[in-house]
Amino acid sequence: MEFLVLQQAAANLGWTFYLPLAILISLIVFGVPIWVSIGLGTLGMLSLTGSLPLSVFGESLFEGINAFALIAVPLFILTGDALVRSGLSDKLLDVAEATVGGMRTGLGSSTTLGCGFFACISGSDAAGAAAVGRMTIHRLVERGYPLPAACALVASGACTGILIPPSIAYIVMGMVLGMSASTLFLAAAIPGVMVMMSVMTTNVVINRLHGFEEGRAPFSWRHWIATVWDARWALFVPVVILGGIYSGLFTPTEAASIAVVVVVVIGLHQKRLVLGDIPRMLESSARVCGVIVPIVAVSLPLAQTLASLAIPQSLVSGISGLTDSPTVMILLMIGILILAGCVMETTPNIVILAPLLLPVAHQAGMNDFHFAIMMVTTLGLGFITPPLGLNLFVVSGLTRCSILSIARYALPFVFGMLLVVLLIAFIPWLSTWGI
Amino acid sequence: MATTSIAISEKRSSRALRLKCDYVDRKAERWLLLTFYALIILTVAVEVIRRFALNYSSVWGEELARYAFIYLVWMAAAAAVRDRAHIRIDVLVNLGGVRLQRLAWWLSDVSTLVLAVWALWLSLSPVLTSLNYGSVSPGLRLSQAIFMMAIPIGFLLIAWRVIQTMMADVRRMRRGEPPFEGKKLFD
Amino acid sequence: SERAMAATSQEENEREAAADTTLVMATGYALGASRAYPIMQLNFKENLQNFTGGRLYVKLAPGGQLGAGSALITKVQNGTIAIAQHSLSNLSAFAPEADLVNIPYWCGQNQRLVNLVTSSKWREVVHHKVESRGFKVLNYICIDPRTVAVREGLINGPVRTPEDIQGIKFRVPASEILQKMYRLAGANPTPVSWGETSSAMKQGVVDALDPSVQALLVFGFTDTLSSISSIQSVPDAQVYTCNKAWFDAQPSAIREAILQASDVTFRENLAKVPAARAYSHDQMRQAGVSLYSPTESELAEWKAKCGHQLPAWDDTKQALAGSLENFDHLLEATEVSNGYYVDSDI
Ligand code: NA
Ligand code: NA
Repeated sequence: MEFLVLQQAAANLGWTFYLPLAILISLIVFGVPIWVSIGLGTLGMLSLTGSLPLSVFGESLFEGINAFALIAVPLFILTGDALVRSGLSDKLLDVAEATVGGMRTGLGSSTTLGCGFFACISGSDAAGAAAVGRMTIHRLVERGYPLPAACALVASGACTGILIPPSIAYIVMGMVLGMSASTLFLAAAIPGVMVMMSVMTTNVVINRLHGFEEGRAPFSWRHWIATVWDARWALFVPVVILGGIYSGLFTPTEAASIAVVVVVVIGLHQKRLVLGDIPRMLESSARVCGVIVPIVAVSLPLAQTLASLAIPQSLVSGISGLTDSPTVMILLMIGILILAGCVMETTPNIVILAPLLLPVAHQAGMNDFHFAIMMVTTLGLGFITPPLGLNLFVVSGLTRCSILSIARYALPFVFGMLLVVLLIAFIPWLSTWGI
Repeated sequence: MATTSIAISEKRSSRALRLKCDYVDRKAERWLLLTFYALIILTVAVEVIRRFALNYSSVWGEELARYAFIYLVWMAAAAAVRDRAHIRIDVLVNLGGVRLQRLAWWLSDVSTLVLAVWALWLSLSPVLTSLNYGSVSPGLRLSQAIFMMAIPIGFLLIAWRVIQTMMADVRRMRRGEPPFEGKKLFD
Repeated sequence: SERAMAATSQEENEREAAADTTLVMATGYALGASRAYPIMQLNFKENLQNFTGGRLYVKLAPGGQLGAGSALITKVQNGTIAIAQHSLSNLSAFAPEADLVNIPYWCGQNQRLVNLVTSSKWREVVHHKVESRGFKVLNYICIDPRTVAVREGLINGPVRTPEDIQGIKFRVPASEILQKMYRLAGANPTPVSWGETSSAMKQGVVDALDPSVQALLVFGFTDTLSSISSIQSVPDAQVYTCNKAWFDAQPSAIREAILQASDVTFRENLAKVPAARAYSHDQMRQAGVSLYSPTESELAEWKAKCGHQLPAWDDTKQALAGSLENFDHLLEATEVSNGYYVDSDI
């Protein structure tokens, strides 16, 4: 602990810190793009506190994203898009429906399971929400769900995109904390599936209360086998990706590129995709990448500025001054992460908060993997919490349904997922069994 | 009478020119994005295949993919500025009327412009240092400045795109239309 | 302990207030790392402050807070930070001669490396070029030479001779020389970025890697490795550099004091080498990793297979040192002590 102090004299934070912070928050509230708000806030903080020279900012825009692991971001976004355009995502949904469609809340459950299947291939959220949403929302509405409820279900199911491996979030976590991403994937398997189950269960409970969907389709083995056979290529992709990672053919980041190639080749082979589709596919994925990565790029100098102002140390000493109880510390961390997830995207949240909270986690006796899984799962809630929830944005963009009305229907799912977060936080085995 | 018609035809031709320029710059932007994207995928995939099949991989493949990624990000960020696709919280702003929304877009554009110019300025100094001392990248052994230029180029494009959207908004306001609400992430 | 912390914190505040100049010193290693990996950042901070009579105050940015390796070099070059630590091979971006150290079996042994970097020949060639690129070398940090560390389940027992690594996938950084070395030794050199290496070793994308035992410990490779062999081929050394313009702008008394502090820290590092080695070897053994020191005849096999004496290296020597003769001068320098002793007995 003396090391922490020696690293830097305790911070005396004055207006030079709080004023730019207030500006940063006000800009976000007034609808200025997140990356611009963080960038200007950081520049303000650097110029006023003088804790580091301003040139740090210019260097970070290059060095901050000059990391091989971050290449996973555009590649996994593209994988999701390729899945849709190659028609493989329809097949995955068909299998999901043939599997659980016969249950009482069949369509809702198969939507969620479809999101889970999608997540086994794609490492990002947005594409899954868009793909599954496009195909299922109108059917859910036909079956009796109010539009915002259908949107909320898809948005929540798509949270599994980063929670079930492969996942951009765990690759970035591995990069930030110097951990093996493939081990993180392994550790995330059970928690990721638990989140999917919680979304499914929550939807069943909602249906018991409100009865959105009543009828059920009959289950038939013959139909199931035919559907699975029809989807064999789509089901083969996760085997290639995860099999390739765990048999030592490629690293998790490389897997993202292999996934793109495999999906495109299958799509071309099945004649669902023609070469002419590829430029449009790349263009729309590039746009998503150009929206997500700049937030990461400006978050890095913010993280560096906070570190140079000794905020991590203040946080640790603040929290350990508040309580000795590991339970309370963990709950405090979860609270911070939920709050952060409400207002910010996952990847920058990992960049900024992982190094900040890791010492607190150690203080609470958590191991690195346990902490990483708990952190990403909690941040996963952020995809469906307003004001900034990426999945809410995506399904709202698809349906023109207002974000706040979707968010209201997403609330029960948030609570369901929160339950999973608590289980993960207090039962370390769930995230450390595979290590 | 004659002067008006000249003015109108001038206006028309300048509009046509503008459309043409816009077409060219969209197309150029699109091709650059495609090139960088394809470069990332192919470099990484080829390295994996080479390592697996030929027991040989290069010392520069990973580096090339990284630099292509950096170019891709900042060019795509500029494209997203043009499309007004950057993630923002508009829940509060949307509670107000068109005037508040217009004000919010104006604030957002001005902030983006300030950041772009500031970042452009700050990112030039590493490029100049690198040119000055002739640093080379470790793998490709090419001047580091080539890759570092991604940042100033990107922010120049961003500044330009912001000015374009601001001007477009002024035109819309004159016509009494609401501000351009931006493209959604997935259409 | 809380009182001790408050006292330290107050002392630091007072020192910072009393100093004329506050500078940032950035490293890629956590503050507690010196126990296993003698990067000496706390000693260096202390020495810089004390030898300047408190006129400098050093603010540490450890643990990769501001980046590591080439990111830190950029920051020093731009004058964003005054001092940073990075690897010796990172210098080769400015002085190609620095890359010579990656040729095997001429300066891999600790004492040879220390003799080399303290020699007037080395300083003449390398330091001069580094300075023309806006840097000043302050001091070197000796750790221990590179090793051959293999993953669990690859072979039975430790790697003894080049025979044992025939055809295995050997992780290398983006360095043509190291790639050439492991190819000569018979392995299949595979460049993997450092951030992916831990995953790659765990899943068997690569089978072996070469950092020093100390580095393998601080980067948490304990549960991936089955054995580590100290083949003493190539040094795995670090260096502290500072921005030359910043240095030149200091008053002469301060410049003197900085150089003195740097030298003292270097000597402290050299003294610390065996202790850090003992600690990290012990930790590795406790984690179940076996450590192996090849015999003289086994080392001779390695040297015969990939050593600097092979004609295969002539073009590299020529390209980096200018001529074979220049290389031979540097080689001679590795034999002559300049009054800096380090324990080489691995
Ligand atoms: Na996934
Ligand atoms: Na949110």
